[in-house]
Amino acid sequence: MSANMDERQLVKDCVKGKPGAQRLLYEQFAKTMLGVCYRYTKSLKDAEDVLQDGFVKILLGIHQYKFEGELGAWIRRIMVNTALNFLKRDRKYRDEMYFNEQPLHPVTNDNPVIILEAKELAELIRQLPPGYQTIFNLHAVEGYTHVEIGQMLGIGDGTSRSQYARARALLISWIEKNSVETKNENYAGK
Amino acid sequence: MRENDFEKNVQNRMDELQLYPSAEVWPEIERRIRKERKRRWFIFWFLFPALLTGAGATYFLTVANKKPVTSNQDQKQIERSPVEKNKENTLVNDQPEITIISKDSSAIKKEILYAPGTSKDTKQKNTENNKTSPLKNDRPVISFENGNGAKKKVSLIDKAEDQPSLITKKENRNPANTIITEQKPVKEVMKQEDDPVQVITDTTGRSDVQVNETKPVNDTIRVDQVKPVVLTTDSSAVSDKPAPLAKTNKSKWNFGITLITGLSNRAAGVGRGGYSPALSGGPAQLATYSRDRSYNPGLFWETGAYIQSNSKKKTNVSFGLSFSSFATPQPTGSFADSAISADASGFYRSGNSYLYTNRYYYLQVPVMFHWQVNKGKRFPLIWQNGFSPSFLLGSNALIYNSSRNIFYRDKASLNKVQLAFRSGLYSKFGTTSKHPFSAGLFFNYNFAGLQKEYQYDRNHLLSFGVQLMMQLKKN
Repeated sequence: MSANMDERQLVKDCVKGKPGAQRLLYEQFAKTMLGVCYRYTKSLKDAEDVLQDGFVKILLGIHQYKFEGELGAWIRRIMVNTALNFLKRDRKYRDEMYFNEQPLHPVTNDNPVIILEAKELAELIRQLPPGYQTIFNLHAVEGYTHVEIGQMLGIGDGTSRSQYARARALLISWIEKNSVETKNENYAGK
Repeated sequence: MRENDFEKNVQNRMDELQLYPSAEVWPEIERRIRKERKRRWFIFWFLFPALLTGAGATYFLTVANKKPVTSNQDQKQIERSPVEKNKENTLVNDQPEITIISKDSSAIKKEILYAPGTSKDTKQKNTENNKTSPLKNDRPVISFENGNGAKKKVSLIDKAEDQPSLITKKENRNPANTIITEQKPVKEVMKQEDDPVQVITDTTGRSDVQVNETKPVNDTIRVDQVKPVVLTTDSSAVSDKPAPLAKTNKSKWNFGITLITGLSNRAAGVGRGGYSPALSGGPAQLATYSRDRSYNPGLFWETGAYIQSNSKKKTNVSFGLSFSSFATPQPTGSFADSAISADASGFYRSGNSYLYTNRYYYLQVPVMFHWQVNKGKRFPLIWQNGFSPSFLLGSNALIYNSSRNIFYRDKASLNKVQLAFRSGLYSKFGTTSKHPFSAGLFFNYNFAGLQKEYQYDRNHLLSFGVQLMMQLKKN
């Protein structure tokens, strides 16, 4: 309750343009949001660029937040949209953002045990081709439906579905491979 | 289900992902926000007033100046079509009357005399006038309409030498018994109708009256039976009394824009002497004394619009609305990137390594009294004095915290409302031109302190510079 009240006051101060409040808001959400941006990009520098763009949008448009839903969710939504815009705008991503039909990777285990750390898993996601990476992030992590993803990326929902299936299969194969390697390392260590 | 488990696992793991952004990210965000804010301010405080001024100037320079200096009634008449005029200007009377329509009915009443036998050479003059008349009508005719709606056209025939006739004072210029209408409608009517038409003129030679439709002349009415009437669209104006003077659209106010630029600084309060460190004593006080003196002059500018009374007297009053920016740079130490309040995302240490520019933005509503000190009309020298309520719109000014010996931003500690005294001396140039302008010196002093609580002297904004004023509408 107190945290909510503090958050409300923080937002009000940000609306008034108080630099201290803006800084506090940034410090409160920057780490999580950089994690979001990191998953969508291929380098930390790009992730920080997205973070910068996103926070500029957030702090200039904070008056649009009407205290409906969580502030973190609102900020995250803006950050994801900023990341998508960045991918569309940046040439090196745009050129690789093709959704070609690649053969499906054979999947042996649909639900592998993820023994990887969050950062390691994020690294694997980032190694996916940009198109796969984006759709996987939007569907598996953010929870958008394929119809919504289709609208966001300007593709059909069927395309989104098939791309996601391929991305998922590829990622599972990498997770399994990584898990085996990690296990072997652990045994070797023992 | 199993598929969802995988997604859930990934989601949970990704929610744990937190990365620390590098130190350069926040300063860049802050810089971009400030820049964007400045851009928005610029749009609001420059483009919006510029558009407003432009719209006002366009209105005054085009629409307002095109209005002729005539009465409203005549204005209506001018805007109507000739056909409508014919319908309206035909007076329905039981008795035949001369119909005279004029822009300035009082002038016609003065000029047209109905005086039997007042001039011996009336006939001769009429003849001369008829010769000079462009209509070449040797028998002037007056048309009118009786109660039945039938139009009649009457020749102004002198019954005899001693018979009364319609004459004017300025027969040598215009036909005495005619009223000239606008040339174009008259000619048009004459082309359509071969019959002679009534043409009546006023002595000013202005073309005011159109000619009614004509019919063959059947009746002849003696001039001494004819009763002159001045007809206007307003029936109440049909009277022997002089018509009221025509209204003009001459405004009592001039409209203009102003630009002032110069230097600003912090100054001591009125009536407060210089700070005496000896009386206050102590090295700490000496340190704050030097800090109080460390403000440098900065750029000051102001732009806005004003309206000024258009009195011919030596004194005038003006009201304005303007946006002003004051700057007072001051030396500070290094910046510490640490939020200490909602207003401050960091603070400056005491020192001289950095020159920080405090800026104050005000919306001002100056009320000024202008007094012409010399008698010259070509280059009048005008002294202006007045007051201006000012409202703080924004500021990045640093506040000094003596206990921690740091500077930080705290907008809440600044006075939001100020009252400024203003004075200036200027001269007008191009007074005969369409847009005269003024240039001169300007002085501004804020009575209220900048900070609500300030223990030192220099807490008042002071500025001086040059001012330019351009009049957009001249009456």
